[in-house]
Amino acid sequence: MSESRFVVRRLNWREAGALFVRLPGEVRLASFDTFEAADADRARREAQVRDRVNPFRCGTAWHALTAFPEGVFRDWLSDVSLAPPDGATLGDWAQWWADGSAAWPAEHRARVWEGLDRVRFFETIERPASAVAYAVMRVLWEYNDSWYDPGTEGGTTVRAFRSRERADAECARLEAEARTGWVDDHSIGTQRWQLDEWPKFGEDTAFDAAEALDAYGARLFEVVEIDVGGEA
Amino acid sequence: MTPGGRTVYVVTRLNLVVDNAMYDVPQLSFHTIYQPRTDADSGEYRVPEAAFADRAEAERDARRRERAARELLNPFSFDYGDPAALSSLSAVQLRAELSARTVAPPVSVADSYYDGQNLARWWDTESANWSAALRAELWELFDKVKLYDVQEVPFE
Repeated sequence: MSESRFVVRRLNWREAGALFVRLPGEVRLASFDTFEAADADRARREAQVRDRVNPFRCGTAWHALTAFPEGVFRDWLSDVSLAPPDGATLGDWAQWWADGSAAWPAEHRARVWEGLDRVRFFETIERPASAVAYAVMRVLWEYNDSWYDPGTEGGTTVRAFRSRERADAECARLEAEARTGWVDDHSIGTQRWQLDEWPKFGEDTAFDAAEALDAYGARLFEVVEIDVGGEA
Repeated sequence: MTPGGRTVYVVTRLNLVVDNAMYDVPQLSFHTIYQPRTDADSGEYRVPEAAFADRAEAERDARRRERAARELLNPFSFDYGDPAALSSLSAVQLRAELSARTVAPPVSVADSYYDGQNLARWWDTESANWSAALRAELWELFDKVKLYDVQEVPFE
């Protein structure tokens, strides 16, 4: 029987004005030998995001937030004597959270998050340790009339490897080759690599090439861990 | 592709961007490059997700991922809900197909932007009441919205 690894993934939430919406896709962040270690990591990351996000802004309709109908969710809150808002729109609920939640006991905030069972930012999955490969991907840069932008994720996959080490080596070779051809004529956006701090609020940032590539970790090539199916 | 080497079939997902957050249902689009930095930066922002030795297996996996992705998406959030951009069916045919299977969508209005938003709100509200099988069946009508594809790349 194949050995398992437990992988923590960030789900693909994106800012949409005052809201967040969940889009398809996940990003692998870390893997662990045991479920307990992975899930502790997931819970730590989840708690960090919950401290910064209003859960009622995570979706455009009630059913995107929870399997509970709204009336059942109100009853769920009454179990801990938490008085819900008078209004029933998501905007009413978001204002209720914004106005009061910071002053509530931690268990009340936890009760709300527990009931909003579809608003989750990370997940833990079990995967066979052998079912992994590594894609080397060229980051695509676009001039957006102000600076070079790498997009939020994705690019062009140029080659795949069974070995992480060989993928890293090929990525480094391609990166060095591409760096020699980089003309430093515009600033460089680095927001793509700041997603580790998701959700990072505030202005987009842009730097000159040396600062972006050397100090802020912008990349011209990346290695992406992918699933392997069948006999690949 | 690689002389004497192996290739693998990689399932990739198109990157989506929030195109317009001012609408009730935020508008999404596939990330398109208008001004590539160099010719090599042309193309689509695709995220690799899985690799298979066999193309048919990769395509089956891509279809499964497509169906799972659709559960998170509202077809009318693309292209401002313009049926011509979403489906090979005409706008009239699309409405007829939707009406035959669900609570009828809102009455068509002449302004395509408002029409698209009405349809996006309708899907947003009603789709939770449908079975997963019905949502999947309805999504088949939107054959121009496709996130997943299969790409052959060298493999070591």
